[in-house]
Amino acid sequence: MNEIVLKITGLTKKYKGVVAVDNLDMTLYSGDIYGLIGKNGAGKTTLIRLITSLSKADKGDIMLFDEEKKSKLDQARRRIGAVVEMPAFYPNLSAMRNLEYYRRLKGIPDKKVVNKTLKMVGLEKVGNKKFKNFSLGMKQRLGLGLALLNNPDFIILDEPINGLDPVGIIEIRETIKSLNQEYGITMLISSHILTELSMVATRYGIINDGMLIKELDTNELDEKCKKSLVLTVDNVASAAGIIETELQSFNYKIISMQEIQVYDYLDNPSEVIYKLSQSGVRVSKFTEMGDSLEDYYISLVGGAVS
Amino acid sequence: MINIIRADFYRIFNGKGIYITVILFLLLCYATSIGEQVYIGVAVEDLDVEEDSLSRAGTLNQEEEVETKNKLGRDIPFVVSRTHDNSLYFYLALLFFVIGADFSAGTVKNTLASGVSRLKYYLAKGIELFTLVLVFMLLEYIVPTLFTTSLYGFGEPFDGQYFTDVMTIFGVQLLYSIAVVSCGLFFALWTKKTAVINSLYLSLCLIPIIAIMILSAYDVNLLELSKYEMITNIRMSANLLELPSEDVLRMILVGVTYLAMSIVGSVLVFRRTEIK
Repeated sequence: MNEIVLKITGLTKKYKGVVAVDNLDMTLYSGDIYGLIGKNGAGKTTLIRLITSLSKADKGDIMLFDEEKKSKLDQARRRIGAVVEMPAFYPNLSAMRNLEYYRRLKGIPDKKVVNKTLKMVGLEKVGNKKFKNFSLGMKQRLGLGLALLNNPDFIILDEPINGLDPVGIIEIRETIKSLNQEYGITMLISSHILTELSMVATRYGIINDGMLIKELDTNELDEKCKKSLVLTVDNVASAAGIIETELQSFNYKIISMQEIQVYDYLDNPSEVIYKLSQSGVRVSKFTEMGDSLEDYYISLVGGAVS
Repeated sequence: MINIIRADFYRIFNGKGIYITVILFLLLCYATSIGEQVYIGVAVEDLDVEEDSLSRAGTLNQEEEVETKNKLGRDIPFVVSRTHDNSLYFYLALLFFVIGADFSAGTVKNTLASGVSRLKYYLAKGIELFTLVLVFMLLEYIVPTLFTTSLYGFGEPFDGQYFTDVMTIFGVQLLYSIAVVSCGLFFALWTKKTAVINSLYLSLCLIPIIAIMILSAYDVNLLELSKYEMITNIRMSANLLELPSEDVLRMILVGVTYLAMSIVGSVLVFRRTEIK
């Protein structure tokens, strides 16, 4: 089993009586790209702030790289790179000087790392531009650059593609993937843009009202979001009976009075329609469907967990 | 911790603000030393005062007089010490350079998220501030002294007693200067808002002394409170050599108490504060 990079047990944080993080347990393994999903106010940023010590938990434990004691946790955090909320830099310093400041602060001896980092995030041509003159997308890139500056083992990114144009989004996505695949960097990424997250993450945590309501990996997500045939029929009860008796399948769901969702026979939908028609059930429409991460998330948060 | 200090000094000395502050501060020091060279008496005839009042005062018909007092280089440290409280307003700029800029730009989170403990962050900021205050005080004492020496000479030879006298006053004023900026640092860590830090710092420098003056108009015994007020003690320390030893000891203890309270307050308040 991969090394545990982050282990959270019973973490709780309240703000003036409002529970922002509620008895949360979470584990990240080395090499994970963990997508943290949740609506505004769900507790994603609060959780990230607790991990990065910007906020103090009321209860619970955080273990980073096997370190649990407070004195060792600070040392362990030196192996982390993080961008929490909007990237913050000194507005009157250039991008280069800002990164140079952090190079010195983190005690990184290699002076070339600043230029290398600017190149990695596509800011090598604007290194002498003052941060206050940067666009939002450029600020996000510089924030990512800061997270990468000390060659971290674990990167935390809070909404990293906010404000980026489509090209920028693709570049960040490819950077994230290559950092994970080439260097084995573990990542925790929170995002509202589920389609983007689904293209990079290997594990997902769905957080709602401060609680981690579901944790699953890509295989489990594929299973939950699996493809199906949705048939519009004139008699749903009869259709269900025929699917069970004639097609030997119990892998279906009645969606409404006229719709039934079948998870088998995806490569041979005509067989299903034929059997139903033969038994007197009229099929007026059929559609191939596949739940997206977004659909799955809404189904979890909006109602009962399926 | 040393990395934070080095990085901050890199940032501060790569900006224009510190140099503008130093230039303005040196102008203040220059003006202070030159100002003590010239005393201008006002012609009483020019004052709008009743004649019989003036004759009773015995000052009627005095000529305008301009008197130049040529202070020598050796006198300047004592001259500077009498107006040292003016420097406190420049230390507000130092407070901004060292820590105000971090809260204003929101970069505290970057530092703390990278594994720097809050205690180390506070200690680094404290050391930076105290170092800059020391440097500014040295400039304040040395530059006008050198300038005046170049114009009028130093005076009596520089001896051990002179050095001890100057260093004693310098030491007590340094203690109070550090205590005042330490209180400013506490305000910064407590409020995390630059405008509020500025207001509280200026209030600390102005309100207690004014309040005591007003209160003592109703009850003169309340003037005793000024012995425990920082700005008054800074001004009194210019006459340190003439004060009884118990007053000197009280002065030092009050300064140490303010410093200790601000340090304890800073550590306690910063330990659990939310960093945005």
